[in-house]
Amino acid sequence: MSQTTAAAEAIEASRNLGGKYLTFMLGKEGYGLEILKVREIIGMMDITSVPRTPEFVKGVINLRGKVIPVIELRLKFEMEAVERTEQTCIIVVDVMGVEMGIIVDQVSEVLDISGEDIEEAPRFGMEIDTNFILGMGKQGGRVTILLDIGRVLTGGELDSLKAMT
Amino acid sequence: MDLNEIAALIVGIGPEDEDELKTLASGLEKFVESDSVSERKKELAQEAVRAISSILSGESGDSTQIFDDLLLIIERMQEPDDVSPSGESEVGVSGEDEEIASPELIEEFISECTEHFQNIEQGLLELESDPEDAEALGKTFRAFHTIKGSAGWLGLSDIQSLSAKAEDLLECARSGQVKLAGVNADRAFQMTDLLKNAIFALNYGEELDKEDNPEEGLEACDRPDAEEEAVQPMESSASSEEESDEPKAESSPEAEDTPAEEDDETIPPDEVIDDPELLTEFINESLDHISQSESALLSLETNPEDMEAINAVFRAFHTMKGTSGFLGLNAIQRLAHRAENLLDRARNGEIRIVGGYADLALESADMLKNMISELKECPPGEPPLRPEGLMTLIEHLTEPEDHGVNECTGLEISGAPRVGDLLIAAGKITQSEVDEVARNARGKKLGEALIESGKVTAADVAHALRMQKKINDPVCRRDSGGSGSAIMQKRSAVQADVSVRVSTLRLDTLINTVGELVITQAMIAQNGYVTSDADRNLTRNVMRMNKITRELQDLSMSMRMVPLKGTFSKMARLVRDLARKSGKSVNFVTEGEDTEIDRNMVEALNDPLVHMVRNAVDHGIEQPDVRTAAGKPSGGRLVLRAYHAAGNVIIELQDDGKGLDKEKIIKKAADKGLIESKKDLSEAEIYKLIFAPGFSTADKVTDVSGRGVGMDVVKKNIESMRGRVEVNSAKGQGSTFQIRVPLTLAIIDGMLLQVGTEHYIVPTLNVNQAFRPEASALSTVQGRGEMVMLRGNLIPVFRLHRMFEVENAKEEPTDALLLVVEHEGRMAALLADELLGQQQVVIKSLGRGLGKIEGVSGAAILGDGRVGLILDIAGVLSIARGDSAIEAA
Repeated sequence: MSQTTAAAEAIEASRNLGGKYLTFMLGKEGYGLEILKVREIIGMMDITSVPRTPEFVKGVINLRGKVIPVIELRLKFEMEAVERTEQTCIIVVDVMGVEMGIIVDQVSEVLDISGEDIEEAPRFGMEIDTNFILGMGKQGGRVTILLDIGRVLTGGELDSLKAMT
Repeated sequence: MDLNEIAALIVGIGPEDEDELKTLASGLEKFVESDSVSERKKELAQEAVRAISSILSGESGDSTQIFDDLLLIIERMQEPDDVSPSGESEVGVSGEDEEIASPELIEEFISECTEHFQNIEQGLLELESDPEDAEALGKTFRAFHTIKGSAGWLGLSDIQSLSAKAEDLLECARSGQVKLAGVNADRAFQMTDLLKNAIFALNYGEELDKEDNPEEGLEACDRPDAEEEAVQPMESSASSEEESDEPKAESSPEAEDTPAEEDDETIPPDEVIDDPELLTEFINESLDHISQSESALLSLETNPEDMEAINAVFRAFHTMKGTSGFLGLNAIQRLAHRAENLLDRARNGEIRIVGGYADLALESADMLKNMISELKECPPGEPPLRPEGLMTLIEHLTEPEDHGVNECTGLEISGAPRVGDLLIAAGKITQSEVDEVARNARGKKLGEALIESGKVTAADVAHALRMQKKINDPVCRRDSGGSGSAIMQKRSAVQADVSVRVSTLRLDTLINTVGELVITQAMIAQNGYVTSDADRNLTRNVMRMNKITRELQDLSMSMRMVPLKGTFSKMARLVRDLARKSGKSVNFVTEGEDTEIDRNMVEALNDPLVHMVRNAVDHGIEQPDVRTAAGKPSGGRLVLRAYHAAGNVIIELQDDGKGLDKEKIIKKAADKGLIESKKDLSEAEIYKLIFAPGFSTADKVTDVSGRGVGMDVVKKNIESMRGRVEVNSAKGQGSTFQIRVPLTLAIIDGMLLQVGTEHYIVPTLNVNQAFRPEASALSTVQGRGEMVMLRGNLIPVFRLHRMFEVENAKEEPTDALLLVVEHEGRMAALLADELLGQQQVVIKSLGRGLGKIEGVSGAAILGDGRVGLILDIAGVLSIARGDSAIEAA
């Protein structure tokens, strides 16, 4: 089993990162999510907060009868929180069968970024964790941070949750 | 093209070989046109042509399935035309059933019979415990009689004569000539099973396999000992009747069937299982077990130290061993037993499940899977075929080291040629290429590796695999004479009962969807326009919709609930067989079998109950002579009862056996390193030890129990359904196992609380009362720890808003509300703003992404579409106590 995942990872690494990305804004920074991992985009709704979870876990919502957790990406990236606006929305992603919502300031567009326009993630040392960055997309003079959403959500979250309990 | 050419053609191809299929179709068309062919063969050929065209068109989803059907059709064409049953009746069975009545009537008859069978089985079991029970006798007699009557009317002569035989036996019992105990009872059960088979066979609209089934049974029924027995009791006095049964029972084949000795290399033949339901259940269960053990074995390959995985595999083999033993499937039992031994060695740290051992374990799992699927396909009334290589595998399992198996080797045991060999034979690849790929393929299937290496195409490998399967597949290997009935049986196994089996997953989805409907409906009903009553018609329609929605909700909920009757009667049968096997006499009593419980739970309860019953009969209840010596009645008493209590279902299994031996448990536990030997333990703590994995007080491992896995399984399963197990025991007087599980896993009755902006649901089960405290009732400890006086009791007060950091909550207890909750006998008061009401909510998980959160057991969607959290009172209290300890510090 692990051999297959190892193989899958190897393929993942060697794969051309080019493809379609859903881009969104957090403040002035542009981010991108692989389009295949995006389920849907919904407007802001009432979030039931769940006690004793990390701050960036805003709580859970009712997605047509399904209860899914929602995280605030700003807080996850240790950026300062902002007021919700009309543009604030929740992107529902599916990471290996686990559905989660992420709150973003604004959804921009779907970009087709070719492989040669993607650069490796820069390293900033200990201060900024760049593990969950697939690469940096450069298109039309803008920089888009391409997220490995699986790492952002599962790795980080579950670890911090485990650390708590 | 003649029939043999057609058959030769189809054997070599698969659903993807379009050209060959086209040739085949044209060949078949010519075949139909030729004159020398019978009508039956023509029809079959036309059917085959239709199947081919549907494969070629690619319209149908599952072309492999159709291809398999095609194979069957061709096989049937090869059979001689006159397949009329050859059964010549010597025992008064008229050979041919008359033209059968309309399908509706048959259907009605079958469903009627299902009820009768319930009565019969129940009656027979009652009679076994009390042969004088005239009422049970009458009930059983009536049931057979009615079946006989209806069968006669419908022209089902086989069933009629079979039930007549049974009726005769009962009649003898009624007149006091025989007693329905011992051998006679076995015979009655046997007849019931035969009759059941015969009737369920009708369900599939097929003729009975006459050679196999009823006649053999009838002969058995006609065997003279029925009369002999009938004569004997009249000679001997009534009191010696019991003893007169005993020697007979021993000489009967069943008594010889006692667990085979460990070293015996021959396996006794498998018993024929007549109960299709039992068999299907076993097959499904076993397939689950096998797939679990497979995934655990696979994870062991990477992490051989994973005890959890070893235990999982072990449990799977163990359970299969037990159940197959109970069903008399000796080959499966032996294999599972040997495989279990291997895993046991791994558990004790003697070996690690890697290399050759892992191969061996996986090989066993595969072999078991083969045998199970063989079981599924073999026609009733015939013992399943034993796959080739079974004995070799068992030998290897018994003495792996003697056969060169160790942690580094690989192992080849296979009755069928390997994929690589087949590919070489087909000229697709050379031996050296296969070797090379196989060397690099570590852990991957050869076929996959070959495709990846690009040496062969996927189609070639698929072809080879199919060839291999065909060679392996016993149905195809069976000689043509038997294949006719095999085909029919294969068909029949696919068909369902009159009731529809729905996967619980779909049922859950339905219930969830209905839940959503209820919420949406409530939203519409509360809409301002609707409530303003501006449109009377709309209001009326909304009201009507409300009613329908509620009905739908009730209905969907009730679909989940089933009585425990089925499970209980299965246990009755189990007790009976176990008792007879071990030579004990057990009086099994069930109470409250109409208690209803969630369907999911019934299935989940089955495993633990089997283990508990097995334990009780095997370890709990003593041999008759031991019992008599202890001044107890020689027959043991086992009570299985169920009842509702406080939203839970409680199932108790009470025996009057020897009870648990506390000293022995402590000693064993200390030996195993589970406890420090000097430690003082409470009675409850000692009994808890028996649920530890690998714990057993039995000195000898038998094929029924003794490994100590059983109670581990019980605890795991029960806990996974939010239940718990308790044991009570008195030495020499017996033990009581109590399982407490919630009524359903899906719904919870809860109190809806408001705390600031948040809504929480507290399970009503935990709520004692709610009240608004007087200022005078409140007091504090060290200015912080709050207490409230309630009817003379001091109860600690915990503020939910503080615990969960909720803003805008009421701070002053006299304005707010105290909810008194109870957990494990300890009370606490939770401070909340308001109690919004009591409602039933559907439990949902918080989503896998969040994992487990202390104090919250799940979520529910409230009437306004928002999510409310369901509090886990045990967790809340432990947080509260921890927090207050920190605050006090």
